[in-house]
Amino acid sequence: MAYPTEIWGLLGLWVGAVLTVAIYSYMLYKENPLYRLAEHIYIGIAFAITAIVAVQNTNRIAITPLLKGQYMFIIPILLGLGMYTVFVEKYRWISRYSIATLVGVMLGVVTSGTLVPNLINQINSTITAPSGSSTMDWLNFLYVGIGTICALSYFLFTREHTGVLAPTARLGRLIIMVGLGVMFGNTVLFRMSMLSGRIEYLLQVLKILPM
Amino acid sequence: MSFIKSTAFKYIPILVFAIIIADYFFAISGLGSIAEALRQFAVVISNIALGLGVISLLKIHGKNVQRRVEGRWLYSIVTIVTFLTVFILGLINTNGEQYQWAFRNVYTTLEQTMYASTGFFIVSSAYRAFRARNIDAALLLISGCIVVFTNAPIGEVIWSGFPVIGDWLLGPGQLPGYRVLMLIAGFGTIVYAYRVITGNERGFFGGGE
Amino acid sequence: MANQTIFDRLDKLDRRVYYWLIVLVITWPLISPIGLPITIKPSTRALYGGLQTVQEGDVVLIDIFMSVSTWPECMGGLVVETNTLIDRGARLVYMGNSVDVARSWDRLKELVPKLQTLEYGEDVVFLGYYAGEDAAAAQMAVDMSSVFPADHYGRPIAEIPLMSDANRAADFAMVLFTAEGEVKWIQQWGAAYGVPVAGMGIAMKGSALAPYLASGDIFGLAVGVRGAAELEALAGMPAAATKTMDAISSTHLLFVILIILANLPVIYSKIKGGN
Repeated sequence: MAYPTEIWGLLGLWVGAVLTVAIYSYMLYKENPLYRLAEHIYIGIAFAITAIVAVQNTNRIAITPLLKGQYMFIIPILLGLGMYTVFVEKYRWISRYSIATLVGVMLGVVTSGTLVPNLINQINSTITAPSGSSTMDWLNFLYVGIGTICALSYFLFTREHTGVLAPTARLGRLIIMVGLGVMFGNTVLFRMSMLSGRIEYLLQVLKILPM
Repeated sequence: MSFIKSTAFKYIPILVFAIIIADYFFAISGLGSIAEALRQFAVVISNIALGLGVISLLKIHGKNVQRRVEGRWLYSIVTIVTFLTVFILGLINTNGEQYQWAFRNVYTTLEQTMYASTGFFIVSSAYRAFRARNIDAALLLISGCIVVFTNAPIGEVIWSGFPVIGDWLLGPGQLPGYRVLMLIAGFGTIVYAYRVITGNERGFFGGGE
Repeated sequence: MANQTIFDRLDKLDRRVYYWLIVLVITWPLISPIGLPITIKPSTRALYGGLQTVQEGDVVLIDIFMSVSTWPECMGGLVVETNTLIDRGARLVYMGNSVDVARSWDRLKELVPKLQTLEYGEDVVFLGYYAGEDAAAAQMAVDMSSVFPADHYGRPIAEIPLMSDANRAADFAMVLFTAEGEVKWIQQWGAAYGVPVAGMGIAMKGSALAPYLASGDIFGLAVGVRGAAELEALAGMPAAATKTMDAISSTHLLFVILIILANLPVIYSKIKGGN
């Protein structure tokens, strides 16, 4: 992508840059009119795009098939529209039929789906001895096995953490802390890559870096 | 009518859940097409429900303008005008130049900028908030810092041991903690489903009758 | 005031100093790249290796879950995946659960010129946005056309040749997720129909996905911009993610230095026996 030369391309680039600076002005001057303006433009446009996608997609996946004779679609369309009765006190009960259908389906799909990968496979993977014969494989196997039991015991709230449970729950908590530390490290990576993306954009607008 | 208004809907999740589960585990003939239709319904309902947030947004900002809420109503006008402009442009033609211009230069920029702004906070909190005041916090910070140096190529330059320990942390090291969270979430889902089908969980319907 | 230590002064430092510091340490390596080498993690290698097993004519589903906000993290990896799969002769089906997926699709086309050379409808299809998460994935597994009666551009799915060969999970050789939204594919396609699942997550998803990787529910994983840079290195096509890694090095170094500085007084007081 080359640096735009026509007016709308240039304008777009600079509008983007000004909005970026406007948002980051919050860091320097906290809540200020420029930031609030950009923030409210963002909210408006984000919801407009969501609304457009909702309209277009509903047309594509439900209304067009309905108009082509698939009359079954009248039911989900009515249920979907029924959701909007949450805003009208008198007819709010209608939305409960839509919510009930949605909850029933989602719960059924998620409950059946969770069994194998989230439960059976995880337990299997924890108790299956390593295929490799290296000492490290076995040490890891023991660490994961014992660590999982200890971390589970930390979440055992129906019994007081005394006696045997005291050291296992304590060790479990420390092992969870290690896991949280790893996620913390990855979060830093995530935030920094996002930020460097924006700074790179500003440098490109200023022609310090090529597009 | 009062049965329909206040009671009948409570049985729907149980019935729908039973159909979906029975279809998944037993593949009873005839049930498959009902389960398929229900899943299709869920997709369409979810899609139409996308607009719920839009209505809420317009209600809130509409009220701000109507009541001339100090320090807010002018910004609410900005939100409403932006929303209506882009929405109308999109309705006319999503491939149109104006809509694409707004999508590309305003939405994309603001979306990326908003999400990236937390990068600033994490740096200032690095000095102000992350203190190893006990063993638990120390363990979190040490493993976090090792992973930070494992993710960054400079870590390996500083000490070749960083990626070795870091790769262990990213592999088996973090596994017990997250495996337990996964198991708990899995069992939690099943327990939640049980509570729904036994009629003990109805929070999702919202309050009031 | 005179008794203030350097740590007290740092503690009271205006936070804007930190903000300018981070801008500086990102800007500097972007302008003058250092180019530190990147070692490849086994999970990324496994992902790339899996892409290499795709045969000519295989259909691969790519879920662009990312919104435009996560482009710096995941777009680089998606570009490598797409290029690699095109080179393998795979047929590609794109879709996404983010409302701005059309923008990501347009950007991907800009970054992968090869996509334009493929015959739309025969070798590549963009189905667009889908709602309904797990229910949608479960339904797609048995009848794709019921979730997408038409593609993003409104062309009926019955008129798209590629989709007549790819209407249910069993017709797909692989599912690749991008950024997030992986659990539904693992549960509804991987576990239920044995379709291999892999992909690239935003960095924060690395931990949540580790159990799936260890249990074999996903065959490979690239994590964040680091994973994207590793994929670029494996494919021999260094691009945006590789360029970002220098800024990642400088910012991460600053981050650890700040944490060490913050904790020096704590360590000092512990040694002294205080709280």
